[in-house]
Amino acid sequence: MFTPNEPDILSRYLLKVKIGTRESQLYVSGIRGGGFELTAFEAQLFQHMLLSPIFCAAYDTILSIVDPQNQVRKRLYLMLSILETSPDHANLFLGVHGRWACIRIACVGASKYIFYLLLGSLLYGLQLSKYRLCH
Amino acid sequence: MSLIYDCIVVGSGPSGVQAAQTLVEGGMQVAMLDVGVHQDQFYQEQSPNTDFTQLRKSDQNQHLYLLGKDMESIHKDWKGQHDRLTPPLAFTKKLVEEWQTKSPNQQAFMESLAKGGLGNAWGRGAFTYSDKELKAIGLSTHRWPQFYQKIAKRIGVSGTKGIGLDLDQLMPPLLLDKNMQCLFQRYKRYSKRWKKKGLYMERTPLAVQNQPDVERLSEQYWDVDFWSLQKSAGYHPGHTLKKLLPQNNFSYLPQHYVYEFQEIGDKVKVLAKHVQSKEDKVFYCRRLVLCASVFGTARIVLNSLSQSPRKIPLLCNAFTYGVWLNTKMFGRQNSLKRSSFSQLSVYEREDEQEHFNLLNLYTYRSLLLSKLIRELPFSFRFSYQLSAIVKEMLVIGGLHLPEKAHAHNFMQLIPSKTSPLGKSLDIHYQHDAAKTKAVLARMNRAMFRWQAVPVLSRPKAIGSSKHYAGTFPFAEWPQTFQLAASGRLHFTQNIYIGDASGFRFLPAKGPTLTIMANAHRIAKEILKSQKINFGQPLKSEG
Repeated sequence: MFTPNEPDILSRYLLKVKIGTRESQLYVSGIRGGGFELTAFEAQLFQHMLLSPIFCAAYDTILSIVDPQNQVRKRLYLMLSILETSPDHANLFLGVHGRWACIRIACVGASKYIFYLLLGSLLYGLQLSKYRLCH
Repeated sequence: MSLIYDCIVVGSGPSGVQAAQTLVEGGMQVAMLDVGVHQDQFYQEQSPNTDFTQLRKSDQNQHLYLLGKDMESIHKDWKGQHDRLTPPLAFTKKLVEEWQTKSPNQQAFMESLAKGGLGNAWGRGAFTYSDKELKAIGLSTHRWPQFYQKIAKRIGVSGTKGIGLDLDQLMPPLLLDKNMQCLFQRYKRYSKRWKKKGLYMERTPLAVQNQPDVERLSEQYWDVDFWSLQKSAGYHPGHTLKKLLPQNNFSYLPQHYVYEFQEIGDKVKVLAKHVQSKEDKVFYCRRLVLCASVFGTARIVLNSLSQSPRKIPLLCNAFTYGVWLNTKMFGRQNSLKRSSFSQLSVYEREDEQEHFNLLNLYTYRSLLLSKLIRELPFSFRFSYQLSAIVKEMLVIGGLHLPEKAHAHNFMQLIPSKTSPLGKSLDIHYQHDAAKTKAVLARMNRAMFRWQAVPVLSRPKAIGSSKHYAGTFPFAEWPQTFQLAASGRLHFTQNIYIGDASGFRFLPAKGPTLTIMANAHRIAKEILKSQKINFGQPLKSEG
């Protein structure tokens, strides 16, 4: 399963950046290379996730706790690795310097993490119930 | 009759090439039998040729070698595979699964059929063993400084004299980056007190050239050592093999998987399978030197001499890695000039025998940040933010523990339906997990005093240290499946073992330099037994 806006949404969630055709093509060829197949439940989650980067954050947060080896997260990992090996985005991976910048990023990141954890638990619970009803 | 070589060396790893060089210099007609999987042409051409940070900002094709041409590193990371090989070095493990030399449940025990063997994946730690350690291994200390010095001259060793390295005429140590400088300074401030407690911090001795020579670059601090064999100043066996190839009395015979030998009178018949055609090939020699790594050598010896499954001992260092945050580096940028190899080593004296536990320390740059993000238990976005903050503070440590032989650690060659040879090695191994935990706790306490906060530790799968030994230990009195001091297998006339199979004890310090020095020593023994003088080559029989 592959949707054309997938690389764009995932990169907007991961780094808040817009990607070019190079990254998009690499992502597509990575997925087509195999090893990223989704189960029915994973596909349902993934479809919902692609509605918005906020949903991506919520599902990724909850999945990192309940099922870190989920194939949905493997797709996110693929996108993250592609972004890291792109010269346009390499700077974002070379470390943050400055004490106040570090403190600010950590505090904002942690508070958002808690918010997404709560949202993710709610959405994941709903999706799980929906899946159980249908199957 | 086919050509009879004076000596056949099996394997092209660190021990094989050093034994071959000594024999070739001694005038013997030497053949090296090796499977010899070589690095993909593709990765050779894609080798990064500039500073790691620079190439990250400019190279449009970096994904080809950082992630692999088929994104293989993504799949490997996701499965949490043990080998830690980057895509350009993955050839080190190629074909091993196809030949099914070990039971599938023990894949963390790494074997290599590559040209250069496990030497391609070597962290370049070049430690010397103390007299007590050499005695515990079963080696006489006589002339060992000379053997070490000889190998150090051949491969180029940089470092400072101390517990880890006791050699003269060394190249100066590599530069320390800021992160490691902070740690080292904090240790040095109270070094006397730490030494009283049995803790020593030293520069890690490395087989890395710090001065250029004709064939090799000096260290450029490009930090691409784990991505490129060509652009690294670190030694690997390919360097010696390259020197040997033009010699008239040396033949390199790749694509041969040796599986058996037979002694016929004063000659040795060596049986091998051609890797592609699977045809049987026969070679003859006067002396056979097995340097096929501990597993390769065990497979050949057991297949040749043992009719029924026989248990042989095995040694392997316990290996755990830990992650610390150097608080002094918070918000600071680390030096740009860095090497990928270990920069500092912490030795902890274990007992009166002067056996040490060893913690090798690295900083984190030449690996992708996504590998670290993958390890954290948070969402990718939050993990990315945290990793970017702590990246320059990270201190990664590999903890190795010394290992003695235990009855419950052994392997045997058993019939196997999946192996093309019909037999594979079945390994049984356990470590003392409580001991590892206790040593790590002590190291954590010391690191904390040096203002490095412990954040994570993971015991790695058994076998992932890649340090193996002890399968055919040195024995003073002749016993089957044991070695004489000369490296000759007892109850054989002309079979020598040049790798770590003879070590009765495995110190925590990386064994590679000692393995090479021992192979050189054994080659000298062979030359002595043949009464060959330098410059008087033997004529081979046709």
